Amino acid sequence: MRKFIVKIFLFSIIIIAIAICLECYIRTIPNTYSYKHKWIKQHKDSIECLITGSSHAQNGINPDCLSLKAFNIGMSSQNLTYDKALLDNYVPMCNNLKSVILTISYPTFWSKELEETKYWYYCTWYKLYMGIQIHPEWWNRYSFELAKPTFVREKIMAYWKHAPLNYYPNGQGTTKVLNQPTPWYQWESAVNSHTHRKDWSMVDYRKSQLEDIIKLCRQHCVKVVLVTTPTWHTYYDRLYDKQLSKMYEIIREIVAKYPDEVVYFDFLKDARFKEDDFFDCHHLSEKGAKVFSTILNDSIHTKLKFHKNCR
Amino acid sequence: MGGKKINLDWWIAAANILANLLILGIYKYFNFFADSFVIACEALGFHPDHVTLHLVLPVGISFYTFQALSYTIDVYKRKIEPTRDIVAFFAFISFFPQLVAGPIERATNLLPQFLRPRSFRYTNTVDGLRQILWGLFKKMVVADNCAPFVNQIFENYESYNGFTLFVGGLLFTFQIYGDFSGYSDIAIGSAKLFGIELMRNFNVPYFSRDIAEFWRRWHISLTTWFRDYIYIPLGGSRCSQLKVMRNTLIIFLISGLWHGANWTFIIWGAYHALLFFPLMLLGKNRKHTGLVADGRWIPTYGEILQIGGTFLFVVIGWIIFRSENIFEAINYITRMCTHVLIEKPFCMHVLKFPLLMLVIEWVQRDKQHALQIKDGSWLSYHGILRWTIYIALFILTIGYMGENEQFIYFQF
Repeated sequence: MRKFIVKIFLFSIIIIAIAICLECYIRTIPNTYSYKHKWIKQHKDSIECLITGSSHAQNGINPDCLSLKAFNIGMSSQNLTYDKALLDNYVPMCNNLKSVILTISYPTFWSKELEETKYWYYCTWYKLYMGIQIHPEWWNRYSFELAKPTFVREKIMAYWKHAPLNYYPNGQGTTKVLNQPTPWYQWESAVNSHTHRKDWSMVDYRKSQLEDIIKLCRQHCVKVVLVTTPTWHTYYDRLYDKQLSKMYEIIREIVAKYPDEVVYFDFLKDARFKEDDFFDCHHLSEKGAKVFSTILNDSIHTKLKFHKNCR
Repeated sequence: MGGKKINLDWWIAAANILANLLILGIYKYFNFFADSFVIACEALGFHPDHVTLHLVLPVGISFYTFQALSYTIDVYKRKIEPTRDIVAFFAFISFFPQLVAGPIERATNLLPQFLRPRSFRYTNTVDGLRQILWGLFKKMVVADNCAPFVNQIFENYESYNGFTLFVGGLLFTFQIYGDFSGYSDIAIGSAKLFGIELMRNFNVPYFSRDIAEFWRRWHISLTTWFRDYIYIPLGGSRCSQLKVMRNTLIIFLISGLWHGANWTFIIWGAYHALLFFPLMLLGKNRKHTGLVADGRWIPTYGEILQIGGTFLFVVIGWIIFRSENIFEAINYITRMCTHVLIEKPFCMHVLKFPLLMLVIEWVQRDKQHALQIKDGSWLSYHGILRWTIYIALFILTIGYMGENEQFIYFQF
């Protein structure tokens, strides 16, 4: 029995040592989150516009096409909880910040907390690399990359194979590393996963989070630009009317309540975008992002004077 | 007096068996038979009232019910003395490692182990841990990585070409083996930690040379249960050819039905019966009882063909098993055979895990499990190499584990 206990102890020590080494190693691998955090800290005195939101923002808005010096902190599956947490950190830090562009999509007000989804491990990256302390305790799964070991393996393999980065220096996401556009039957599944016919329990909470963001920006004299990015007809033709109406109702209320701080632009069904402007039914391609960002910049310029070309 | 006692024993045993089967029948099969009855009546023009029960199926009911039945029958047949130790009896019925998905243990094997004192045995415990590790690899890496692709292909089979559908069937073949045999290995390995020896449930079935051999290597605890408690009492193979065929058909149909309340399981059982009959009629159902390629690393060409052919038949059977209903099974197989297009399916990369499993199991096919290291073998003298293998396999399992999927056999 003693021999067994000693060997089990020894085996455990070896496994723990390997785990610690892996954890330390993986944290040194460059990633989107650490890059964006570092960039903002380095340019906090010069940045004028922050772009935030989900993958619709990350892939859909090209900061280089905006008049202000902008940076994209949008991330895949980012919800208002993390938009708010990031802005809570960065808005006070950036002394020269003039505006925040925040994408509001069809599922925004219904999205679950990231921790409850299959992308829960993204919370780890916010915590480890961007200093977001929504889960400050060290003993939870958000404190260790190894809490999702399969992703650790994929990250290490991608790094060793010199896989292309999934972000540009301006923070915009790149679709180059993604697979081919999703097949036809998954366009419908995208709408199904974004549609919520019964569970509207998150709506009021998400609305209050949006208001908190606006109040924070107001406190620092920063304008908030809400935007709904373009989608392809195979997506917007299948949307649930009540959910879409509720989204617009909330936005109208917010704009009416904060007329000096908030402007809204709706490009959901904008006919100016062609099929090759899209990567899939609800994400713009890089070509489409350039087109959209230019149009967005011009639209903002008509409503917010400081967005004139002053460079 | 003796005659009265025998009658009383018979009645008690019969009542016990009936009660167990009734509970199993109500929970598992009531709705199936009710629906089938209604469909049959409607086909004849009648419209009976449809009664269904909304009961949650208790996990593992098929397994521990059969285990309880084996105790009753063995006591009745005087193979084992009835125990007066209630704790030992309930431990036998509900022993946690094998409660939910087997192996289905016999009272003659398991109950005495609870009644005698046990002491810690280092070699058994280490062997148990090795078996658990191997079981985890099969379940978490092989089965769970195949599962999402299997689900995607079977749910959208009309969108795929024949080759992809074949690969889908192949992946399910490996998924169900990895899942079920993985669980069995974890159960048997866990039992070893407590000094309990459970029976072997799988014996490298995908290296079988014919269907008869496959059924001697797949879910051994269930097939031997049916053989001992249904097939042999019906006369077994010691009766006329027709009755032997009847007994065989009954066993396969019940085996199918045991898996669940769906016609696909019954058809799957009947399909295997049809494959079995030619061997039985030709007297070749016990041709391959030894180890395949015994003493050789590589099988002969003949053995390769036999293994390949048997495997192909098994894959088709699993397609029927996995389908939601019999029409889907027919459409799937028809499309697989008619829409043949040789282009690389999107899920080919997943096959590396089952291939690795097969290679390791081939090398260790003469052992109880793939990580068994016999005393005196060359690996038993190389501790560092052994530990490297354990650590590498552990890291591989953790690093390549698929999304958490429930054990398939939990639903039975």
